[in-house]
Amino acid sequence: MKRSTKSYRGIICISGILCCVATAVYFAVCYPSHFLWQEQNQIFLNSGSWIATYFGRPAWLSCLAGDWLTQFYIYPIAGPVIQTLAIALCSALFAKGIAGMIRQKTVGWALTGSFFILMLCSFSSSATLAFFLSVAGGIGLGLIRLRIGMKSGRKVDLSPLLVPVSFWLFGFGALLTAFFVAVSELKNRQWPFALCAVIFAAAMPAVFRGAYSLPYSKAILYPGLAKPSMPETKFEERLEIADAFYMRHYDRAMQKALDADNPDEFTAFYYYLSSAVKDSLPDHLLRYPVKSLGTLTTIGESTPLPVINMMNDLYFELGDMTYAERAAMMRNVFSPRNRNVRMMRRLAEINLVSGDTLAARKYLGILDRTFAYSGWSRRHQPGNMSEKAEREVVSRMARSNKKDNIRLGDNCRNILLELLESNPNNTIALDYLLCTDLLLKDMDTFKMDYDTYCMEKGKPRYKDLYQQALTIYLAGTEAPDEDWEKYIVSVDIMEAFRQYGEKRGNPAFAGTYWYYFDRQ
Amino acid sequence: MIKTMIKKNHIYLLLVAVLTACGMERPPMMEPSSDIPDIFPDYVGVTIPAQIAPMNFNVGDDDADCVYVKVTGGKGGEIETSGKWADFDEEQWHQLTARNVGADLTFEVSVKDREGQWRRYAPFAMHVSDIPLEDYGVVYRKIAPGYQTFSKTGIYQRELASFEESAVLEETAVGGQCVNCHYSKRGSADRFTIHVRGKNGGTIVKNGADLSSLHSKSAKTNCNPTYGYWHPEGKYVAFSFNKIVQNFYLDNEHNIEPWDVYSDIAVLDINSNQFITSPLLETGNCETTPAFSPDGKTLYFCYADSVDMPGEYDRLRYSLCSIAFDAAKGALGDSIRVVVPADTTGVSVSLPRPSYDGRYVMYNVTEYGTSPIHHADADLWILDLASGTARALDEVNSDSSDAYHNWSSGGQGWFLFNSKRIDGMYANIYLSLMGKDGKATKPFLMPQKNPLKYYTEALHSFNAPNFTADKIELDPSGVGSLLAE
Repeated sequence: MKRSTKSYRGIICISGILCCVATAVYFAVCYPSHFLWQEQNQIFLNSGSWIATYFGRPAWLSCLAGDWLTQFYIYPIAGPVIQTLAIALCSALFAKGIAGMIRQKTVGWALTGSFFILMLCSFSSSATLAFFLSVAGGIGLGLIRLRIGMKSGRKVDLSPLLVPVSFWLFGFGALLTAFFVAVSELKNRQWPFALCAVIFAAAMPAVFRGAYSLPYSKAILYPGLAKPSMPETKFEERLEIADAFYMRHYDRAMQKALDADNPDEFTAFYYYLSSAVKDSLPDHLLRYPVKSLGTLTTIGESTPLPVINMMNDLYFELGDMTYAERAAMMRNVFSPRNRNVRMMRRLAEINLVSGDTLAARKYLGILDRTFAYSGWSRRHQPGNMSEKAEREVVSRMARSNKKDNIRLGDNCRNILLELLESNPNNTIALDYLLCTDLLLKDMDTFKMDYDTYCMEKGKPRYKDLYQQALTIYLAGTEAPDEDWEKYIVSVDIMEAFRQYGEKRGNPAFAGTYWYYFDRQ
Repeated sequence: MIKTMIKKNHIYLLLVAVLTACGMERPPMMEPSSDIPDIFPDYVGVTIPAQIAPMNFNVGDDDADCVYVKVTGGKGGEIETSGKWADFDEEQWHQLTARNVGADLTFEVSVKDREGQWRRYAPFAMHVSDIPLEDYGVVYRKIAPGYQTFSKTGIYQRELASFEESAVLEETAVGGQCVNCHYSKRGSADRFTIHVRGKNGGTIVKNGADLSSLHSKSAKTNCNPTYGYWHPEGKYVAFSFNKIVQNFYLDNEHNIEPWDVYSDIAVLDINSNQFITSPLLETGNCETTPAFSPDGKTLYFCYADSVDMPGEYDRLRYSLCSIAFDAAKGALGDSIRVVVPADTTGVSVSLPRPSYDGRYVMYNVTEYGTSPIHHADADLWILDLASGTARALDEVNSDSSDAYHNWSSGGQGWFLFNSKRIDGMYANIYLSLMGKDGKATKPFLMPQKNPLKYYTEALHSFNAPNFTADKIELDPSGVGSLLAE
């Protein structure tokens, strides 16, 4: 009998380890960007005053430990390993807790089931590590039996008092603590203690909701539940593209956008922005199935977070630091505790480019207190910048808006014109302006913009896309020969245009602006 | 026997080691240099009330190995501290300031660098004013500057004698709705309004023991109450109803320009829940930021002719005006007096705040517009009502925005204001004293336990600060239920 129990436990242990390894590998291979998202969406400062702020909140231990561990998700393997261990801990404690309530042979199934459910919970992008630590902490406390001996030799059961402690440390974990304490008390026929545990669990959020400034419904479930969900593959794909762009891996971002299962406005946006940064937006405009530059998007109080991120990236690359800052601030506001590390870095960069060193120092000072970004902060300190950082700041400064006026609306066209007025060499802004005209098939505006910012500045931009578009305009306006000679320098374009004229709408010309203009 | 001695010695050695580790680290005797230490916040030469919390400060960039500070009172008493920053014991500090009312405190600062070398700086002084600051603390909204949106906001209060901060009302208590500014009757903890924006929004009115919720909008503008000011008798609250929009600047120096599409003023009768209106304050132009004089007979406000906004944003200039108010009849006067005209001064006035002794009106001046907190050129000005002369408060103004001032409820000259002078982005609270000679003292940043750490890590502005005479006791869940009804 003992041998069979031992072998059963051995099987469970080996299966558990294999299951954990498989889960960690799955997370690392298929879900890395979700973990990076968690890390980038928060900030943890290694300072006493920051840590002290946790003590005024419910579930302070799970929140503090969760945020502290999440900061290490910047390292690719850390997130999958920590998340897997957290799930394993919760499952093991749960199995131990219910071992006395069910038949021994079904414990393994309970373990597997809880592991699986918690794994499904971890797929949600809104699931934080604090949730799993609250589960583990709540169950863990529920398994402790707190008894003190009296002089008379009688033992007094204080286990129900663990429920308030659990609420203080683990928030909603107190419900799990109460469950296990109550079950244990009922088994010992101590129903008054069981009732106490349940009452404590229900009463604690009511008693402390005022102190924590939370309504009862939120206080009892603090720090929030993670619901089981299927893997968010689409979101993971988007995150991967956005992360590649953010890390300046533009080719990778473009390739991932091309490989996307269902290309959409998001993938298109980063495909185009990456190509624009590589000075090749016109070369790639017609190569992506979805046409979305983001220039017609505006942001407001109900804008989804990914769109705010997109606008932040777009305006930062274009050189409009006011709008980039606005988007960064908004994104910060919608993060836990109104701040996240990616936007903190972005705000530091924006203010360095703007020349607002006081504000830049503020954000760099905060980053200096983080584990992973203190080096970055030191390399970007005004007056003590690394050569690489300084080069980038100077290059962005040249692109930034220098006009002094108030903006009448969110119209990106106006913003692009202002940027070009400030610096006609801002080719990112120029390409976005011209490409937006072309996507709208507004040939008159395209020609006007091309004349204003290319021809009149003595810097014609000889890209095939623009040359093709110009042939349409010139042909449509029956322009004289000297105009053709002035604008169209490529003999190949002329020849191809002639051929297209003979086979208008022929799919052989798909990928040219002529075909797009006629057929798409 | 020997074993016992060794054990005892171990205990003594351990005790000595612990005491040394916990004890005060003092510099060796040395001559001070001629330099005053570079401290944050800049408290050199400031005047403080005896009731203020310890004026802790950091030296340099906080990279010193040890900072030793000895404070000597002009009327006696001495305290000292050593550590990573100057962190004074609260009890000792209050004993020292209480003993030295009307005298100077002299601060001798020595700093040990990472190589273990001490440097002693030239001493500097703070003056403990004989004018008390009797208010319990300050109340403010903490808000991350998020433009068009908000997330974690709330009204908080901070005890001035300590570093204790507590929430009055957080947005989480009212279902995630935006908690707007708090306006009290001369710093009263018992009579105030807080507006909550959102689906179940409304104006919370705390009038003594009564807590009620108003769901009032201006009939003409269909806007909620925005800026409020209580009548000294506590029966009325003047509100402006502002339809606010925001535009953004192109350049990197400015950022955002909030402005009113339209704004009107009406006075709420707290007892009857009726608004007292006047066509003079509902003109179709812009009337905003009302404030009663301390005798309650005059209502100050700002007025601007409408211009073609946002195109003519730099032509939008507000004058400081006033209108009579009869509290007995509950009636507004029939004429408007222009106190500080925008057309002749060429500036825009906002946020008038009459001093409670009736001697001054403090207000904001910017080149144009109505939102001084967003203008780096925003300065505090003071109008002497006896002489009719106005001047910029250069003693307290900075190159960054200085705005949202309020007088202490005691009416003895202490005032606070917002300033973005630390980083140009986030508004922090400064305090100063308007002396009997009409000169304000050098302002000091609201003290914090570890100021450099606090102000470096904070990512919120202290919005619309005001004094509160006593600690505000408000049941947040009661407010939530009230709004949900």
